[in-house]
Amino acid sequence: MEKKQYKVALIGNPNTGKSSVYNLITNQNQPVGNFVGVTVDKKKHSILSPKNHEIEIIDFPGTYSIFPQSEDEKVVFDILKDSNHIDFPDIVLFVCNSTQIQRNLLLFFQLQQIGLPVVLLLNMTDKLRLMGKKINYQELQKSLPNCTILPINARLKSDKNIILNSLDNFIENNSFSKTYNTKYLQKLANQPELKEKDTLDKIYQAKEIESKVISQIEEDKSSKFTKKLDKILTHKIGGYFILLSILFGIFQIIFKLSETPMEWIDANFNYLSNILNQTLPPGILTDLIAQGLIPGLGGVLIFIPQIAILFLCIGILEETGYMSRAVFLLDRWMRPLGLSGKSVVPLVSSIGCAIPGILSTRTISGEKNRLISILVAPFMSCSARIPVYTILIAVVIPDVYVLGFINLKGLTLLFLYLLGTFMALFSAWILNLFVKEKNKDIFMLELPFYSLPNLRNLFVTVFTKTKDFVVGAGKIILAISIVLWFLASFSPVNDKIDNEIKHLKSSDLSTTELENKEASIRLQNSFIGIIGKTIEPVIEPLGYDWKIGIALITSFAAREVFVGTLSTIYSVEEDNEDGLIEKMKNDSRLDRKKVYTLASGMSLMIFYVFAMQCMATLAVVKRETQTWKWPIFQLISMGILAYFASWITFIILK
Amino acid sequence: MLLSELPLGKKAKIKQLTCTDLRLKMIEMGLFEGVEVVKELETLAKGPMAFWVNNYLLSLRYSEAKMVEIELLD
Repeated sequence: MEKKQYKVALIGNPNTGKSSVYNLITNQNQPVGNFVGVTVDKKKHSILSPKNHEIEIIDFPGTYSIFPQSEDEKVVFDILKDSNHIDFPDIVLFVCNSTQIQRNLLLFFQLQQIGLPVVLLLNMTDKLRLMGKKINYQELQKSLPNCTILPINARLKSDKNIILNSLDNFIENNSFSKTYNTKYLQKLANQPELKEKDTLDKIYQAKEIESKVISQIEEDKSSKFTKKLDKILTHKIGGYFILLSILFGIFQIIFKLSETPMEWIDANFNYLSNILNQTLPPGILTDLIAQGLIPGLGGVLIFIPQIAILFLCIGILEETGYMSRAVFLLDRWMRPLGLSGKSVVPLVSSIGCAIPGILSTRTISGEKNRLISILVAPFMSCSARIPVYTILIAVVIPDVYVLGFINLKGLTLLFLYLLGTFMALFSAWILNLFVKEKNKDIFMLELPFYSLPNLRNLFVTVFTKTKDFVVGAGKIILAISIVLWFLASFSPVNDKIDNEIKHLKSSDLSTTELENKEASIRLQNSFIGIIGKTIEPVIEPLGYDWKIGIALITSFAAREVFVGTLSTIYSVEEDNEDGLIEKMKNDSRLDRKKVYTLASGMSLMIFYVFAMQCMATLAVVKRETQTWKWPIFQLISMGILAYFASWITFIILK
Repeated sequence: MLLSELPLGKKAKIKQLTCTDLRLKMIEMGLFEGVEVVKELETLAKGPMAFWVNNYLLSLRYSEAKMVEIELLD
């Protein structure tokens, strides 16, 4: 007999601890197969229950009602209205915030009306106790006779089996629904009056249940704490200072805390590369590994600490409930720019990576606000720019202190981040003048109670997002490194090289000088040298040479490829112990002028602030806007902007 | 009186919702006739404000709060 896979949907309001439940029962031992940007709308994970039933857990975005107001809520409606949909569930695990029974039960009743069997997970009962309230389980069970009610605490590991056992029970008693009333949704969808009446009926019913089962027995300490904290954190004026300090603090933490682990990773990669060079037999394969793969890979892995800390900080802001306050404080000042307060989340997330940033715009219900948020998010300096900035700053910015204590290198980095943020806001303002308003944006935002972050959630977020970055970027970088190495090591004009080298040998140069010149001639006449020389006239005005030109082109796959590209090109050219930074510092043109000066280095950094160099982001923008028009618009307009801004920078600093 | 005019810390009872497009969302979020609200937070220059609605904190834009007619209590 073929084994059936049971589909279990996790559904609930936002701020109910739904993702904690998901992380708890899927255990996340085998990482979820969702690269951010592939499965965005819902997460899926298959598990085996204690009684060996195969269960697929589908995690839906949080929603207050089945009837959608924004893109992320539509996912639930689209699947539940069609019982033949591939993700239509056999069972629903409904996560209920027990401090908000009335509002939560609306969605619960809607699910029941469809005829879906629902297990009600009563979460956050600890919070209820902190609010000085008590819940009467017997009374609740009496009010909801056709459903299993499980009080759980998603922070407790032991509750995992309670949930899974209930699913087993369900399966073994074969208590599935045979017919579904999806017509109910289709009928109401287009009739506002009926929908309103239906909603009100359900809410009144929920209200009655809430008043029966919840009773205040002690003083409410929890709301008092949130009230007190809000007096400070969302203060009319002071709140903004705190917000800025928090963002500045995060910035400091990322760069301070990551220093030591980054040095450690760097040292180990150099060690590995040397060992391989010495132990492997000399030949083409060793060259490919030691010159192509390892430097390219090292270029990505070194940024794991920074990226992990960044995602950790963003995760803490979300988990504690502070992110909603930032949205609340900034809405008034984002609106004149054509953005919503809710754009704060995508913009802040884009400091990590624009892809999750753009996906999180789904919570913005106004189409215009959402589109503008998507279009400007790539200006925020993402973590892929960190490698580029770090290496260029190390090469061209002197190690001096401004006013005696501010490090000029750090200041440059801060400037680049601020410039990106400014450009995101400024271009939003411009776009606001041109993009037409289609529907009204709805704000209505729940400000959750402040709470300590759930450590498991934080760990899972940091782990999966960092992994996504490394795997996603790693694949591209590995592929490009290999291709580059081939293009840099072989040439279509071998006769010409032989001639030039013969000519060189007749001159009276020292052996080392001769070797360097020889390598340089080989590289310039390689496939990549020829391509680079061809495009050189275009980038010459910006102060770049052909090697930078190659790195610019490969960076259009993903920005961080810049460093890998240069490592590969330089290690083919001069096979010595110097690190990439030393090699870049020493590189000079035919007229003996340095390639990397303050002018060319700054010009290059400005290019990376503005240009849209990320294929993955372009693909996500296409999917989210449903047309190629917008990604192409981004690619071209941001490219032109980058070109001119870099050109002006180079002229001023030259 | 409109919800947008409710002074900080004051309690009111909702009389009716005067909007059409936001109605359903408001009801879903717990704002409907007869519900008591307390104004908890406000921001500068007609920015968003937040209210206690049935034990949770709901923030609304000024323009959204204008769509709710209330009756001042206490």
